[in-house]
Amino acid sequence: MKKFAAVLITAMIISVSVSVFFNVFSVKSLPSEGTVLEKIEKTISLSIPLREDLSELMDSIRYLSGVRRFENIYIGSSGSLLLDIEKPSSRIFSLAENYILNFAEEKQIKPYFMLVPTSSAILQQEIDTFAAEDFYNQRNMINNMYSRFHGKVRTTDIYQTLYDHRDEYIYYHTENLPTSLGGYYIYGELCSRLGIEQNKIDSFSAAFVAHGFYGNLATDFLRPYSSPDFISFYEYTEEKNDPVIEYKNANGTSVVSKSFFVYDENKYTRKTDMVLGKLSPVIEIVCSGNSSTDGSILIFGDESAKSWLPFLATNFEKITFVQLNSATENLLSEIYTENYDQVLFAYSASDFVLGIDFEKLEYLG
Amino acid sequence: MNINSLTFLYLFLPAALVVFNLTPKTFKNTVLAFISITFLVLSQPGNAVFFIFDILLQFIISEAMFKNFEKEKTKKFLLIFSIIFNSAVIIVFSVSNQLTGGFAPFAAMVISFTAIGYFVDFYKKEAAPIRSLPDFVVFLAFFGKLARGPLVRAKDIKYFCEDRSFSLVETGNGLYLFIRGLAKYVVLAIPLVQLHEKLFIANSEEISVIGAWLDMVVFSMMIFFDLSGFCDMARGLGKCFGMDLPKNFYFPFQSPSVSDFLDRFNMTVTGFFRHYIYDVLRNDKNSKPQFIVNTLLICMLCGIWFGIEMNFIIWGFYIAVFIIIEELFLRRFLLEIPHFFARIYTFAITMFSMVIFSASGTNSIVSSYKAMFGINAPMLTDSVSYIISQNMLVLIVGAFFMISAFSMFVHYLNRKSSVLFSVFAVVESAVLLILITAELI
Repeated sequence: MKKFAAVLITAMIISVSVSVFFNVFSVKSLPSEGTVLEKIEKTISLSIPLREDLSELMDSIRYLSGVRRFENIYIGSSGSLLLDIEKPSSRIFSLAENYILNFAEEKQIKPYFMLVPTSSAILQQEIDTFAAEDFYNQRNMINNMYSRFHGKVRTTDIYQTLYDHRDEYIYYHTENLPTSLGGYYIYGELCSRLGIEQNKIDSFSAAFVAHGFYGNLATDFLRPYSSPDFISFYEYTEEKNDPVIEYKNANGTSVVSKSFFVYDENKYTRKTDMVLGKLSPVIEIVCSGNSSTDGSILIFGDESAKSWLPFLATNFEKITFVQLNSATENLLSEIYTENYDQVLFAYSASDFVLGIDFEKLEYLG
Repeated sequence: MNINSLTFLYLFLPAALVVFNLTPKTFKNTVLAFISITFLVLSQPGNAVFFIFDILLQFIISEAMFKNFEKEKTKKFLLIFSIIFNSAVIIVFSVSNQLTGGFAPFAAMVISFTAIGYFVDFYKKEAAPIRSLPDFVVFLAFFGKLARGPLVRAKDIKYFCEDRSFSLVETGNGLYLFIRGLAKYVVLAIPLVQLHEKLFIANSEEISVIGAWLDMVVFSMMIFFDLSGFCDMARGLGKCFGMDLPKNFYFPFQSPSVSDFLDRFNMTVTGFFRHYIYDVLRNDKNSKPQFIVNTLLICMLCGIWFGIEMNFIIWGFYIAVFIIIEELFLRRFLLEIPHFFARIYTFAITMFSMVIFSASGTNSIVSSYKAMFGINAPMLTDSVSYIISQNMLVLIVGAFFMISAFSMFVHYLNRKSSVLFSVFAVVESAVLLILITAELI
């Protein structure tokens, strides 16, 4: 080997080391878990120059070699990014069971409970035959959770309905959420379970906005391999609905709106926020202008409600939607269960396995 | 900290190189011994105290042996004590790792086998005693060779303990070799380990003909890139710190005979057993029964190097059987047939041996062999076809680098033009360093 080559090869390693040394000081959040050596390894990893590019380069090579799963995101055959959910600990199920059953007993009510499967469980046509076995079995998980309630809670199984419509645009390609169309099918199942009349789809006028957007699953690397999305707004046009939506924030402030939808595409970076905004901890919806609206419902849920809540609002005079994970004690203390005819717990399977703060149910007025 | 971590590559190694090369020649071994002990502490925090005590004890035995060299009984006692002590260390570490499900404790293996070799050579006056503690530490536990070897013979001591002058070209050569070894491990061996694990699960559910064959090939590649990768790293690091470590692998799967395979596969370990056991047991008559017994013993010891487990012993036995058959019946035939066919024969025999090597029990060996020949097994399952589709690149690249074509090309380039070779080495190092870093972040 010539001297110049020896110098260059040595310089390569030394120069990366020096860059790492200087970059260490600009690492924003140093790792807090693990042994000292593990922390050092992680810090060096975060300080490697062009880290993101290197990571993308490796993923691109893997993609070219046939790999379709990157960490917990699988690139579906028609460009849907399917997020596999984390395997939950059994504690998650026990906590949910205990808190909801205690709540039902204390309030002397029989609530409804619904788990919404994510796209990775429904869009099986997007997944290679054996790859499906790599995904956490949401159907079993949902059935397992439902069986724990032993008839004390009324469960709503929407798996089959969504599966029957799997060829339609019922999930965003690049967000782990059902679309409005998917939400309409969920709404249909909810109506039959809640004993209310479902408004037909042609009672709504559809508007399609934000064409070609990419959601939060589409990282820079995954974007070229995924299909873009659009948002659909379903406005109830059968008769005047006049919804008044009050978004109550954790800091005590609130914002009132007269539509579920924001037509200005530039208002939100995340386009799915064009429906029900950034989903405040508590949202109160009053629909008094519609002769078919009647009764009230208290809903504990998550982001997946964005897809079906606007439909459900055409059937109830008053809806209060609560996100337990972000709701404060003050906000919850203003909500009285006895003021509602029905109570519904509705979560996406992916949020549910991460844990819901059901213990906050104790703060309700 | 592992030798295949970012911490080692971008923190420990550059710091060690700088400190080592700034140190005056007289103290270089002291610094290198300190660096090696530091690495031992960082890489084996749980066993570091024991290893330090172990090395010190070996040094004390060495000194005692030197001072009592004329007293035959004391000298012999010290030799036997050191052999028993080191054998006990190997057995205790192997068994405890087996019980806890860990992998073979190579640092313990490397230190103990090297020590046994040293004491035997010293006793037989085939090697000079090492009187300086830093030299002894470097000889026994140079940090580059702790991960998987190679084993170093005492007669090579002078490579370790003398003439540590700085050479930029040697450092460059060493880093080039280290990067190539690291790439073998990080870019090929680790993905192959993951692939082997997936195939193991798929085959456990329903074993297929292609699944069984593929697992055998994948495991062979995995073992090759793991062991040869670590040995390349060791040799590269050796060059960086002014020493020449022996080669340990030389494309074993393209050997023209099984005996040649054993000479190319983990060759320093085979050489160790051959020198210290085979040659000692061999007498002048060298009868056939004795040859058979010795070959069986050596091969099974070569298996035990990887851990005291039944499948490694059976693997050694299997290899020995073919060496014996070759030696007694096939030697002339293998020499006369075209080289290509001899290689195909050896390739098939050694690949089949990997089924035993990778097995978790005798039952799994039988079921794998049955599946490979289509007995009660479908040709292909969905799971295996999916696994193949997801890992095509690593399979192709692995198969390519398992044969010597690329290595021959690099040697050819080096012979033809050192400038061209140097340019190639820089580009190859840059590409590999990018891939390694991208894999490790």
